[in-house]
Amino acid sequence: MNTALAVCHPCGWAEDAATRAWHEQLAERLATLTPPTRKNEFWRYSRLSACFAPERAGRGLDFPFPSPEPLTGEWIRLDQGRPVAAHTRVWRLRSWSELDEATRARWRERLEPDEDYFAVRNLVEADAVLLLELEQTADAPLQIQYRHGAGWVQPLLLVDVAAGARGALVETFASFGPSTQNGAVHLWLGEGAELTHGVFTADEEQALLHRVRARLGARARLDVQAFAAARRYQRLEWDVTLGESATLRLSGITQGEPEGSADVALRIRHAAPGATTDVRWRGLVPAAAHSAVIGRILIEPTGQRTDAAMRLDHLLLADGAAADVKPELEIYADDVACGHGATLGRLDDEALFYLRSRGIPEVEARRLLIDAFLAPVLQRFTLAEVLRHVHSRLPLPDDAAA
Amino acid sequence: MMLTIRNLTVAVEGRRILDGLDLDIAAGEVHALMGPNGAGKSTLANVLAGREGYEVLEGKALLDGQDLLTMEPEARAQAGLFLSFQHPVEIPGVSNLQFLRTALDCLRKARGEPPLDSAALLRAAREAAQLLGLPADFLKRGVNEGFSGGEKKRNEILQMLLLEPRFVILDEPDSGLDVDALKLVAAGVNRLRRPDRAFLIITHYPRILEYVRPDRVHVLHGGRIARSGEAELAHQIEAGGYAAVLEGSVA
Amino acid sequence: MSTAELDAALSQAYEAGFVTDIETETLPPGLDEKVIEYISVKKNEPDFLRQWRLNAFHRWQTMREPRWAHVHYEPIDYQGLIYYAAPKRRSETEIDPKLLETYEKLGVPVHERAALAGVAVDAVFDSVSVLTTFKDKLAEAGVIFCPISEAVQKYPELVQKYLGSVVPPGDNFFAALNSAVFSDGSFVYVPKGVRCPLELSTYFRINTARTGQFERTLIIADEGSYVSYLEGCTAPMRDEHQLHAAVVELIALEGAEIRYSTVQNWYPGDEEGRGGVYNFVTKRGLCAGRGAKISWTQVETGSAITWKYPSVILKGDDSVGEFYSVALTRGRQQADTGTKMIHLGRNTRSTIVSKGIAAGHSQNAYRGLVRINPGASGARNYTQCDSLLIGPHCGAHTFPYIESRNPRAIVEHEASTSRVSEEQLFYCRQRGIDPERAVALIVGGFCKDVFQKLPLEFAVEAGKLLEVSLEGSVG
Repeated sequence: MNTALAVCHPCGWAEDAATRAWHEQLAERLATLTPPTRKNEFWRYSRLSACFAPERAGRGLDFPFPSPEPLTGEWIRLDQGRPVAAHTRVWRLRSWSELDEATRARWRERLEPDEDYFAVRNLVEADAVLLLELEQTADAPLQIQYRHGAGWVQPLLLVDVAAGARGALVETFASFGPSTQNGAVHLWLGEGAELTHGVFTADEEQALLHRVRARLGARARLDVQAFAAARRYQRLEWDVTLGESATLRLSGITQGEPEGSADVALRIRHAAPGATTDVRWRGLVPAAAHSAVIGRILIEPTGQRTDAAMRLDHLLLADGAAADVKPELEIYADDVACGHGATLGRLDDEALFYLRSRGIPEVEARRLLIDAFLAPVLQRFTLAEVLRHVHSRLPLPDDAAA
Repeated sequence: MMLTIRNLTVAVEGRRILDGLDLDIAAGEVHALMGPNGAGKSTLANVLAGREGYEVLEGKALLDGQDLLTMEPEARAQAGLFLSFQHPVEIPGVSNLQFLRTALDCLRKARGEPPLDSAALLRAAREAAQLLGLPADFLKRGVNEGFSGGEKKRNEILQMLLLEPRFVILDEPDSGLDVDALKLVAAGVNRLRRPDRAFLIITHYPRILEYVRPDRVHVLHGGRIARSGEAELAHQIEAGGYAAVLEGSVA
Repeated sequence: MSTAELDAALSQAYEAGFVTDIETETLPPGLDEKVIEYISVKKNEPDFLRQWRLNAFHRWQTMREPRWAHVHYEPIDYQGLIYYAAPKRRSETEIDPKLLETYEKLGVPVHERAALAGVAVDAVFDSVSVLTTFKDKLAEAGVIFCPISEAVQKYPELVQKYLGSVVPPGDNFFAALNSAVFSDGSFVYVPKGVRCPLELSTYFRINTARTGQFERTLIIADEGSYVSYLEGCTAPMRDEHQLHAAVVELIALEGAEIRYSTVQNWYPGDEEGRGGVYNFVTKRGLCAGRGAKISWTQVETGSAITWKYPSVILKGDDSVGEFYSVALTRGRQQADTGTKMIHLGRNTRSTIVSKGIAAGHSQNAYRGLVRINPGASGARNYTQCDSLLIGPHCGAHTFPYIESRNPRAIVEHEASTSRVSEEQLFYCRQRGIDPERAVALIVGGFCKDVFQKLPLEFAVEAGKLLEVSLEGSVG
């Protein structure tokens, strides 16, 4: 790791003395950290080697991306981790260089220390630091399109949704050459704020790590709608802390791909009373694919009257499919209703036979049953932008359903 | 008097629900307490039984001269008070029979009596279950576990029959029951009517009073007994609603 | 009843906390090759076993104590422990009456005439087995039930074949330590087609101060046989911690069934967490043949720290593994316990039912692995894992690991966390039941699914133990 390179990188960290000092400390910490191994419970099932393959190493500067499809509404495009075009109206977009010192100080504090290698590396080596602020209600979602093609790419987004404001973000990812994107989004939801957050990774061919860290103020609500298709290695991570009476609803689908490995890691912390968490994640795993979901719900002694539920279900579709699930509860308060459920299984032979006996060909019958399996999550997808993408990927290609 | 309530004033979360309530019930009598929703009928039942969350600001409640309000809930039960709950809670894994045995053991111990032998208890429990039209395997099932609303109500009556309390409060024993079930519940109550036992039936509708004839009917309004009368009062309520009988009352 | 009341200090109701005043032969504290040689010579062991111990010791020296469990304790000074302590024998045949008294006081049936119907007992006191009942009756059926030290002398070929075959000496830190220094324990062999006519039972007692107890149990059920085995454990109340690092190996051959039940009531330490047993135990069974069945049932109320995961390797096709557990922690107790079900064979089935109850300032964790290997077509697992919290200062945790490599297997896992509700308590109290009995009643109901799996005599004992353990857990 080349600290000198990181420190002088033009993302804006080096512009003022306070940030420079803060950044130097982070760089020092990074020098003491190594990539996680499987002894780390949160990386127990991760097949990380793809991220560090030689062809994806180094800092990618430029890449000849094809001309993009035009976007409408409010949007930002980040190529190689840096914003190349944007159109925003209700959302306010600023780079770190444009922030006043008070805002910078606030965010330095919010980007609190972390012992995770990838998180610290993202902060230290960020290609660009963007702040997105929403102060009112935005009717249409802000679309964020990431494209990467060479080396390590590390975008960093800071999102501030003011008290009472409501909006939606949709992140989509696409890759065009051997590269690893190690991105992070830090969400800060004020009192009563509401954010619907879509994450769609089906055009991602390369290694991707994407971490969402969210802090929910009192009565705030975060509604996550994620669709992950992993062709190489992919890890989506949510680290959410809920304030009093806040609500997290997290719904996701993993569509495994042959030779691909998809990780989902959830760390959900109830630190204030009366908060609600409802997680529902479903995975489809074809031959030679791997899907892992690790979910921890932590209820602090201050998290009384918590209501938390987590359901993690997988369908293994063929020989050679692999799934690992670790739903955890860590509870230090007694007045709680917490539960989790997990299943790993296959399509129901009886149901399949029933459909075929009614004249439906096997491939079609399997598709129907897979749709039925995904339905409880799809029902919770309200973002048109995500649904449009998801429906273009479902029903599954024949090889996955066969 | 078996039960004497004087000037009972109770608040819930700072709001006065009962406000200077007086009530006397003599041994051998059945009283009905009626009133519109939210009048504080269940509050009275819960305060007498000793549930948490009620602040007694003033007044007293005596059962056979004993000051109920200073006693622990189990001590009130041991003194002979029984509350048939409006919404009985489920206790998974604890069979009805085991629950009854434990309760009886505790009650008998408090009275200085030896434990009832298992065969006698089983016999009595089976008989009571049959009387209430409950199936034979009912006693083996967990307390209220997966019971229908009607089964829960009948289970309350079954416990009442076996624990033989001296003073019974029935909190909405008729809500959600069809006529057949209602008759069974009423039969259970009538079976226990005795000169040394008294009942307070809390109900919103006069329907159950067709089957269990009360000696007195009270209407709770404004935190106190606004009107009292004979059984006839219940018919007036049925005919004209609460507004008609409360007209010109003190509250 | 308020949660503050619920949380009122838990009184110590440990009834097995007395010390037996008896002359013992002990080694000085410390562990090196000489200690191992001494133990081996003392027990007149064949060379293979002496060498096996030394190999294990060398492995242990290279290993580190596991740190991943959700428990916290000060480092153990392994050189400060005594590795061998045995009550002195007056003669070869006579047993010290004080020992008999000890077991009688604990309610263990050591006199054959007064014994519980159908239970044979092996009593282990500190490092050695002091008596075994009903040996003759068992011998008639061809069942071997004796101290493992005796089995080493009489049936060395069986011991050599199976010892370490399920839990190899290098399996983990505590298993390695046990393999090096194990002193005694029970040995069971049930021949082909025999249904063991008695319940077998071992009663473990740590008496001597600063003594580690390292028993080793080996149970082999030959083809088509059946055996039910129960272990009970207690220790005196002492201010320092005592280490108990046992290894239990079960082998069920084709069509055989082993039921293994544990009622663990080691001294849990006092309210401030002083003293108590560190129960770091490795228990594993191998369903070696087709249709074999191994069932673990445990009721854990004791120990300052429990670290144990009775597991089943489901190697034979159609084999069955079960784990039924009640773990109650209170005071400052910490438990990290659960199971591993490793499905290798086709159509293997496993069931896990775990009930954790946390009270006081205790921490209670379930940790369980269900692994479906590529060859385990048609495998099924069902896991139900419930936690009950009593009071606001304790913790209840669930850490399941579910791994599948076969699309024709089905794994289902459900977990819930709740508390003894104020509604339930009030309901019981309104019926005249005092709060302590009410909590015991509600907790007993919560544990019902597991108690039903215990042999009848022990289900009663377990219920009582739970009641005693809960005494004072409410205000």
